[in-house]
Formats: sequence, C-alpha cells, structure tokens
Amino acid sequence: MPESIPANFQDLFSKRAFADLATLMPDGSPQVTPVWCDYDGTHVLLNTAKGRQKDQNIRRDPRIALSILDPENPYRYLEIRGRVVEITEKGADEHINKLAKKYLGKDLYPYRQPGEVRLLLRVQPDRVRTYGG
Amino acid sequence: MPDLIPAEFRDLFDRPVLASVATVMPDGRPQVTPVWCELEGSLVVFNTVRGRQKHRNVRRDPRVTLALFDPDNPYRYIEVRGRVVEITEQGADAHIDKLAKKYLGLDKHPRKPPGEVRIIMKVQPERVRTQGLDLRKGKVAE
Repeated sequence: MPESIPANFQDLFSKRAFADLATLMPDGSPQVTPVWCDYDGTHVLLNTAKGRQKDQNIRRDPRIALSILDPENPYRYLEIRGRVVEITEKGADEHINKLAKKYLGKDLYPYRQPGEVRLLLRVQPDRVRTYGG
Repeated sequence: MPDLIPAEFRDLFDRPVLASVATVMPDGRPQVTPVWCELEGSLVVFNTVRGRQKHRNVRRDPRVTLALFDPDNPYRYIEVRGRVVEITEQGADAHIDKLAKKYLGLDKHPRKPPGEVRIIMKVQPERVRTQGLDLRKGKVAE
C-alpha cells in the first residue's frame, strides 16, 4: 500500500540531504550506501550506474529502505521502506545532471566514467515514518 | 579476528557521526535507521531500545550493515557488513549517557521514558568497504 511523504517533510528533498539506501545482497544481507535523491510527489527518485552492486541487487529484489536525515538537524529524518517500481535509462542523464545541480551546484554531473550508463530508479514508499517533526 | 576498520577511517567512529544501521525484516526486506555508535576494540557498538524493530530483527537474523559518511565530505564513507555477536542490557544506561556526551555534549541522554529498557548491540565486522572521494581533486581514492 503506497504511502506518501508528509508535506511537512518534503523540504528534505530540496536540501542537500543524502539518503542511506539499503538494498539486499544475494545472500539476503543488507548493503547500505549514501545516494542523492529527490521526490516527484509520488515516487522517491534515485540515480545510479548500470551494473553497480545496488543495481544488481535491486534487479534481483526490488525491496529497499531509505533513511534520509535533515542536513540541518540530523535528529529530524524520514525512514522509508519501499520498492523500486521502475528502472529506466530514459531521462536518467537529465536526472543525474539535475541532482548534480542540487548537490554540487554544477550543471553537469562531473563523475561519469567512460561507457557509464545512468539509470533512474523510481521508489514507491510502502511505509513512511517521520522523526523530529 | 583482525581489525577490519582501516586506521584512516577510524575518525568517523570517534567523531559524533550518525551511523545508519540496516537490518533484515521477517519477510526479508531491509530496514535502515540512524544510530549513535562507537568502536570498542574491533567491534562496532551501538545502543537501542529493547523491543524496537531493529532489536526484533537482529534477534532473528544477526546480519547488519552500518554505514557512516563524513559530515564534512559525504563522498567519504565506510560500510561495515557484519553480525551482532552480543546483545546486553548490562551497562546500557551508562552507555547511552556516554554516547549522549559524544553526540550532544550532555552528561545524560535527555529522554528516558518510563519502561524503556536500553540495550547495547555489538557488531563483529566481516566485510568493510570504504570510499574516499576528494572533491577538490575529483578522484576516487579506495
């Protein structure tokens, strides 16, 4: 059952808040990495490179969790459990550049490796909890 | 067991850096929440409340992953995969006060709701991954 992000916590997505993304390894143990994120009103949007561990994990098991802390107050945060409902190359390049603008102040994502294919991930939040609101 | 935490990343555990701890839900999906933590020898130690989701999860499946990223440079982080090898109530109240000192500069943890029982969880690292990206140089140093 999808849940939406409460209106009074959506500001986290306009700040440079990193999300700690948990995915599942093949043996079922969790993997955690910090990622850039934003929100389109329905889905949390993430961006990664094709072939990365998190991409492989999500293709095998789309269930993920996110912890997003307010950079101005780490005791104010969002805890999300959900699933990746779409993985697409369409729009992924524009999206990583948009994230680079937000997080680095740059028009173009500067860390592309040669041959790198970007992927846009749409996350459906199934359970959202807020803390420190 | 050798100490898997690299010396050049130990500062993340000494400074008041919030860790994210991921555990596994009964249906196998992941859950991740922030915690205070510190190093005790080669073990990563964090404190939580008895009965919380992460406690219930760990009792069933001790595999956890902790991630800490440098608040001055979020492109520098450490991911510790391991398992909880000890859960104890002994000393947990003093421990949360010690962590409150580290993270908030207070002598005591500010909230102690009645009935809340604190527990210490000790994690044995099994695999550690680090990333250190120097933004000035734009290089990734592994």
